[in-house]
Amino acid sequence: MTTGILLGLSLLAVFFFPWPFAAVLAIAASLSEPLIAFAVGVFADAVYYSIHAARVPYFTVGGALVSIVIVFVRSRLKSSPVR
Amino acid sequence: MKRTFLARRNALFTSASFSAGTVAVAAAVFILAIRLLFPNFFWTMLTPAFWLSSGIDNASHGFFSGFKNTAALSLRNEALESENAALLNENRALADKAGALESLSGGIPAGVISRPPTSPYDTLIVAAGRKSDVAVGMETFGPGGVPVGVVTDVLPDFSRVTLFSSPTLSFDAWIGSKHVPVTITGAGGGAFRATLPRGAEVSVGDVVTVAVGGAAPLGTVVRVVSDPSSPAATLSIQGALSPFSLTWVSLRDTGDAFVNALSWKNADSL
Repeated sequence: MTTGILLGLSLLAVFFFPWPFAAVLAIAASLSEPLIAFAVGVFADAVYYSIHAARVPYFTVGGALVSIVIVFVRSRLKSSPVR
Repeated sequence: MKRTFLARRNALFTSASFSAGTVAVAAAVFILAIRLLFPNFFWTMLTPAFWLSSGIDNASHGFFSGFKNTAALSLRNEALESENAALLNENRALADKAGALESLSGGIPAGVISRPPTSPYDTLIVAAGRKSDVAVGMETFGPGGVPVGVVTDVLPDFSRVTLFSSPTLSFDAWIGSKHVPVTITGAGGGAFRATLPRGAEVSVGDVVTVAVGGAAPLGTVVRVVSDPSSPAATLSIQGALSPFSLTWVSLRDTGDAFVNALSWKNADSL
């Protein structure tokens, strides 16, 4: 439920708030659902990216990196003997 | 038969993340596909959200400014009311002349539906496109005829303007009354950077001018960083207009000279 609300808010924040706010919300939602950061990144670039404005779609790349890091940390925690 | 092993769990595709995470990615990719295949429909669909965002932005700005010193605001309010009455009369006279002036300048007025910092790449989305005779390479001017960017994408009803402050863009300009030539690079958020020899006669407050539709003021030097060990001084330039508050712009074709001289980091030209 909380994850769903955070996902909805981060997608809305892409339109309504400065991008760092959307990024923080996406990272918060990704703590429980890693792919959300990537999804929000793709969504933000779908709306705003232009080849003339940036070399790479930073939000897709950034979202993918956040997702990978969170997946990695979660997998380490799951395999850890300390729970 | 009793199973002697546990199903291996995948950290990426747990049942929970498959339901929400992958659906979110699939939806985002679907939206991306709509933008790539039907860009004009995409922007038409999103325009109400951007207008709503713009309205909320303006309303919240007014709300938060109300928390400032109320006594000072009250005095200022009285002064502004009397000024307002005088300006209303003046405005009526000027409004009559505005139409004539607009036709002389040849500018295409366009509402800004997305601007920084919501738009993260130093771009504007404006509600005028091919149907309004907008073309790639047109210069974009803010209030007071201040140049703010160049049109880089045009759709039937919308256009994307890359601001001159985009870090991907460099162009020639002049600084101060002595017209010191300099190459300006965008620094994002309506700011610019430039490097000059340390001996160049440039100081804080000097106006930066570009050759867009004549000589147009782009901004002001706000900081000169000069390291004694370096032969060069770095200038910080603040744009004359903040892209964060642009609501209307004018699109004009002032010739190819300036646009062709723009240096793009990502592309050879427009």
